[in-house]
Amino acid sequence: MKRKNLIRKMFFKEKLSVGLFYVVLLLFWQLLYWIGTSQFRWWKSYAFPSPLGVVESCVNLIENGTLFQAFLYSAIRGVIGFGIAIIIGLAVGILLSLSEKIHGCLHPLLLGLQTLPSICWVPFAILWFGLDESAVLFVVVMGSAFSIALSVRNGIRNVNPLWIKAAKTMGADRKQLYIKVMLPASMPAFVEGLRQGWSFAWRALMSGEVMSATVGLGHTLMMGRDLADINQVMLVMLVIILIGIIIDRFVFWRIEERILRKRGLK
Amino acid sequence: MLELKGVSKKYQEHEGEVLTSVSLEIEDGEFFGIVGPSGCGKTTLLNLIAGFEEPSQGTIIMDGKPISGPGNDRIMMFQDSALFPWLNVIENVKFGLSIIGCSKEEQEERARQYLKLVKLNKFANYRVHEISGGMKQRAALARALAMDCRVLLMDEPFSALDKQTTNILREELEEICSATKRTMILVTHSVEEAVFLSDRVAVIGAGKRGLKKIYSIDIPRPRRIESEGFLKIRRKILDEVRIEVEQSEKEEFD
Repeated sequence: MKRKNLIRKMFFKEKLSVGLFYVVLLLFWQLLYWIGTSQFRWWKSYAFPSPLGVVESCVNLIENGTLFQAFLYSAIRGVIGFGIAIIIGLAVGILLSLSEKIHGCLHPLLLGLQTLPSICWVPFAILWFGLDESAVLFVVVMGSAFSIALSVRNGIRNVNPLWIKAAKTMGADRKQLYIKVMLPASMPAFVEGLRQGWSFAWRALMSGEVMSATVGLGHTLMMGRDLADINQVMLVMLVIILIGIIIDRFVFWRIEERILRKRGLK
Repeated sequence: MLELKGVSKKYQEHEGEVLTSVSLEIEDGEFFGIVGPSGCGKTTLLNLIAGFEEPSQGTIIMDGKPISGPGNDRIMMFQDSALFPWLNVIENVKFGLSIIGCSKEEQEERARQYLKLVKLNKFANYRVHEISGGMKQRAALARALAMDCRVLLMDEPFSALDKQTTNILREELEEICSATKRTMILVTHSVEEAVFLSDRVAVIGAGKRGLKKIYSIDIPRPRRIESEGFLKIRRKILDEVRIEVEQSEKEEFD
């Protein structure tokens, strides 16, 4: 009990020092803004964001509903796009795992497509779909599906051969082997792939939204530029970071943790 | 009945044989032990019977039909239990039953029955990583037995366990064998273990890479490892194996 208290105390202390660091950072930022704009006139006040300015912009955007609406549209697009990416990634990943030949042929292509920054798909998407929803979704899918596919394939290929042998000796055919052994066995790798895929998808979504003219966080970001409101730009950037982190920590990290714990790997 | 007729195995054309012309017959319900120096091909022999590998020459016939590929009439147990970590203990036992298409009720009933047999009923809902190595092997045994296989192939099933657990499991395995009457083929490096459990023990040679000799173990069960008869036959087989070990060492140095 005492030990537990001690650990909790230490944990709290650590959190406290991290919190303190950010408070100091914010104060320093505000101070820098104040010195740089009103004391020395290094920068124009509209060209340099400040913490207070960001808070003000945040209150404004929440009050007029812009932020919530933008978030909602981006979230829906993210879920749909990522959902499609998972289905395609899973299908392509399983296809790749079926034979070394297929994998040998497609691997360089997929690796190349994955290396391409997702924003480079935007012109292509606009030419194909025009400036609308499907163009953004297309960019999200192209940005994340192949990374998921490759991790699905690697997960299936790295399944403990003993498990496969055990299933075979019990008479499992190829289909049963996939559904009952390979797929469940490769779950940890799959979830890790989803986590990585999500970070690609989120970036791709923002690229798509910045370039197209639909409602969403990326568009609100560009609106900040058009209005020459650097605080709004900064705020939306922070919101984008925050959502990315929250989904990674509270969705994917949790699922991963649960699976690993269930299998005694953590 | 399981028949091996002149079974040889060669992995590469230019290299020597791993196993040379093994012929033997194993009766239904028999406990057949296989011993030999490491690298003599005893695990290969098991893989051939299980259908994981194909003989380069000769045939393996089970109940009059030649073996082609793995099948659930011959189930293999491994050194590592090979239980699936995403399933709990009872789900692992049900796995094989679901492969052969048993109904949910039948799966539950048979899994419970065999978990009871291996004394794991209380641990049915434990996760695989939560039970000990000995319990894992018992669960693997239940998984294999539940499928009503004709032949159980065991590849050093106790070698990853400590001495105490091994001794207990051996005795339990003997009880289970006499209760279930399956054909058992056990590959082991421990002559004592082979003599304790088997009706017949085959020694695989390192020199000839084939069947050296088969010993019938005519000691009444339950056997005691301190008894005179036990020690005598154990000594005989150990001597035979020792000749083979020396032979294989000589080969390596030549």
